[in-house]
Amino acid sequence: MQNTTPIAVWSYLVAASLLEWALAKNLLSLTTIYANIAIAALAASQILAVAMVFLRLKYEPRGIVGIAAASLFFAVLAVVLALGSIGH
Amino acid sequence: MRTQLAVPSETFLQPPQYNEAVTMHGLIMVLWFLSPLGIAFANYFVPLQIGAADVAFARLNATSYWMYVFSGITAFVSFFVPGGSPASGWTNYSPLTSLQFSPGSGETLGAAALIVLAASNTVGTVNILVTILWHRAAGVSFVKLPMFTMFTFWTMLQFLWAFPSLIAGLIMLEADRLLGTSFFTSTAGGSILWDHVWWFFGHPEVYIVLLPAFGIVAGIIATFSGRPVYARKPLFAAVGIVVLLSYMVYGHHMFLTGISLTEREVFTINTETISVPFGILMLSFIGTMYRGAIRLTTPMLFALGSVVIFVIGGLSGVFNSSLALDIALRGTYFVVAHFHYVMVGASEFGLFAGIYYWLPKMTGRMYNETLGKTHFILSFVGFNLIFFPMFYLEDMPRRIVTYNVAAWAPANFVATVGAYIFIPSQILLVYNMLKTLKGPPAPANPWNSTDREWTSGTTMPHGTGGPTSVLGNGLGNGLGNGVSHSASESAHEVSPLSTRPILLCLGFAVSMAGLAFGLPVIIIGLAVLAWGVGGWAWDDYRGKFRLPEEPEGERWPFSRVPKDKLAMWTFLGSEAVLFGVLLGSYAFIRVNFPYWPAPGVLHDINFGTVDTLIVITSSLTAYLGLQSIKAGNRRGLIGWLGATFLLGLISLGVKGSEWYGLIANLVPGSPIGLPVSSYLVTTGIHGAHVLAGLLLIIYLMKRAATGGFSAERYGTVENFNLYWSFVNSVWLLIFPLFYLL
Repeated sequence: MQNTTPIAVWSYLVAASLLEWALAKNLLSLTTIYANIAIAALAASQILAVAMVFLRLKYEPRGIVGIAAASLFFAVLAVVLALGSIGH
Repeated sequence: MRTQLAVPSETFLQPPQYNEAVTMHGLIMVLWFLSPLGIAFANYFVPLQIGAADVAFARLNATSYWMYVFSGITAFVSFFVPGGSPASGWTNYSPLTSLQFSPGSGETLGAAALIVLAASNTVGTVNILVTILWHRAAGVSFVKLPMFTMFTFWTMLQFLWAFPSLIAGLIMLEADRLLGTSFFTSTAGGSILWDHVWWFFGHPEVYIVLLPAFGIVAGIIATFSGRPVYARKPLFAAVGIVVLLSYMVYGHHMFLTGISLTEREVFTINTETISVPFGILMLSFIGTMYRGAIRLTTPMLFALGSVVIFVIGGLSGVFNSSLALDIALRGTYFVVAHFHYVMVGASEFGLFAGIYYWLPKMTGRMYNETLGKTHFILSFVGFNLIFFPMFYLEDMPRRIVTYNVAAWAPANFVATVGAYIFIPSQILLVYNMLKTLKGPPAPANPWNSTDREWTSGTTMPHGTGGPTSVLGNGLGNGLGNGVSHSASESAHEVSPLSTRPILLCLGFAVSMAGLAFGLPVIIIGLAVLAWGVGGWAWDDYRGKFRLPEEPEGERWPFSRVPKDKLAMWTFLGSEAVLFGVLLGSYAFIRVNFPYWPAPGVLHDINFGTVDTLIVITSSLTAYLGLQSIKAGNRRGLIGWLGATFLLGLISLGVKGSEWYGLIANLVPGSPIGLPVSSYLVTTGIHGAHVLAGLLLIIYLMKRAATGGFSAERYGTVENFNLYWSFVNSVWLLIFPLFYLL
C-alpha cells in the first residue's frame, strides 16, 4: 500500500468532520433529527475508515479482525444493556 | 461474622465493624483470593500444558504479579485509615459509597486498590492470552488443548472484557468522591448506572473464579477415572457459550431496582439459558466417570466435591433466575447460600483439588494422603453445615448485623458450627503443603496422567541434581512462575533479572493510594512510577531483553502476526470495552437527565471541530512515520513522529483550555452537574491516553535517532501506530456525542 490510501482516508475524515460541523451549525437546513442521524452516520463511517486503514484491519488476518470485532461487540453490548433500562 | 450471627441479639461486633467485615470479606475472597489462585495455576501450568518455554511476556508477568501484591496491601491499609475500610458491601452499591454515607477515606482507598488490581488483571490477561494463542507447541491445536488451559483461555476472555467495566466504574466513583462529580449520586439514575457498570463486570467475575476450577476438575476427573474427557468438543463450545452469556445475564442482580419489565424478562430468559451449557459441563463430567476405573484420591475427592456443590448451587440459581421467585428471595439468606455454593464451594474445592493434584509436580514430593482426605472430609462437612441451613433462612434479610427472630436461631447456630469446622480445617492444607516439602520424592507422573505437564522435566529441584537451571526466584525478576527449566528451555531469555516491574507497580499503587492520602503521596508515587517506567524503557533501548526468534508451533489463526502486535490488539480489545462503558454511561446519563444543554451551549462546536481536525491529522502523520521506516527512511520516521507529537500536544492544549473554561465556571463546594461531570471524566481519560502516547513518541524518537528501527525491525512503531489510531478513533465518537448531538 502506498501513501495514497491513507491520504485519501485523511481527506475523507476531514471532509466528514467539516460536514458534521456544518450539520451541527444547521448550515444545511436539515431538521434536528435528520441532522443527528447524518452526524451519527458520518461518525460511524469515520471510525470504520480509521479501523480499516490506519488500524490496518483491512490487511490483517482473520484472527486480529476477530479480536477487534468481538471487543467492539462487548463494548456495544455494554452500551445497549445500560440503555435498556432508560426511564427505569 | 458467624460468631456475631450465631445467636440472636449478639453484640460481638458493632454495626460499622460488621459492615466492614462483610465488605472486605467479599472483596478479598473474590478478587484477592479465588480469581488470583486460578491465575497462579495458569501462570505455572499453561506453559507446561501447551509446550511453551514460559509465558509470553516475562516482565508483564512480573508486573501483573506485583500490582496484585501492592493492590492487596493498599486494600489492607484501608482498615487503619480514619473511618475504617470500605463498608458498602463487595458490590460497592451507590449511593452507599458516596461521601454522604461513607465520609472516611477507606472507601477511596479501597476503590484505588481495586483500580490497581483491575490493571493487574488486564496486564496478566494479555500475557496469558498471548501465551495460549501464540506459544502452543506443534500439534497443540485449539481442540486439543488440555482441559485446564482450555478453560483458562475462555476465562481470560472474560477477564479481558469484564474488568474494563470495573475500571471505568471505579474512576467515575473516585471522581464523585474526590472531584465532586455526580455520576452515582445523581437522582437521574445514578444508582442504576452503578449497578450496570458493576454487574457488567461482576457477573462474569462469578465465572472467572469458577471456570479455572472446573478446568482443573475436568482434567482430574479424566485422570482418576482413567478415561478421556467425554464430549470434549461440546464441552469446549459450552464454555464459550457460558462466556458469551455471562455478559447478558447480569440484570438478574437488578430485578428489584425498577428496571423495565421487558429488560427483566430478557435477563430472566438469558439466565435460564445459561444453565444449558452448564448442564453440558455436568454431563461431560459424569460421562467421563461412567464405567471408569475411579480412584478416590484427595484431588479426586475435592473435584467430586466441587461438582456436587456446584449442582446444589446451580439448581438454587435457577430459582433466582425466575423473576417472580427472585423478588421474594433476592434480599435474603437464600441468595447468600446460593452464591456461596457456586463461588466458594464449587470454585474453592476445584482449586484445592488443583493444589493436591499438582503439589507433586510443583515440589517433586508427595503430600500426605491421610491428611489430605481428612482435610476434604472436614471441609465438605463444614462447608455444607455453614451454607445449606441458609437455604431455609429464605425470610431472613441479608447484611443485617443481628436479629431477634427465634425461628432463625437454629439454622444460624448450625451455620456457625460449620464455620468453626470449615475454617480451622484449612490449617490442615497449609500444614500438608509444608510437610510435602520434606515428603517422599514423587514419581515423575504419580497419577498416570496423559496431560503434557507431567511429561516435561519441570519440577522444583529437591537435591536430586539433574540438568536444570533455576531461572525464576519469585522475586520480581521478570519470570513470574519461579520454576526451574531445562537448559534448552532457558535459552529463550537472555537476562531475566529486572527490578523495573516492582518499582513500576509500587509507584502505581502508591500514587493511587495517594488519592486517599493527599497530593504529596501522589507525587511520590508518580516519581517512583516514572523511575520504573523510565528504567523499563532504558532496558528496552539497550536491548537488554531482546529475545531470539522462537520456532513456530501452532499459532492458528495468528501465524503471520508478531507476538507484540497480538498483545497490542488484545490490549486494545480491553480498551474498547473501557471506552464503551464510559460512553455507555454517558449515553445512559444523557437520556435520563432531563435538562441537558443544547449543542453549542456547554462546548464550543468550532473549538471541538478544530481539535478533531488536529486529531485526524495526527493519525495520518503517525501512519506516514510507519510507512517511512518500512521503506528504511529513519529521518522520515523521526520527522513524522515529531509532527505527531506536536499535533498531540496541541490537541491536549485545546482540551486543557476547554477544561479551564468549564472549571472556572464551577461553583466551589457544589456538586458538578452531570453534563460537565461526564465531559471531564471521559475527555480526562482520553487525554491521559493521549499523554501516554506522547511519552511513547519521545521514546520512539530517541530510539529511532540511534538506529533502533529499520525496514526489517519496526514492530514497536507499528504497535504505537495502532495505539494512537485507536485513541484517535475514540475521539471520533467523543466529538459528535459531546459537541454536536
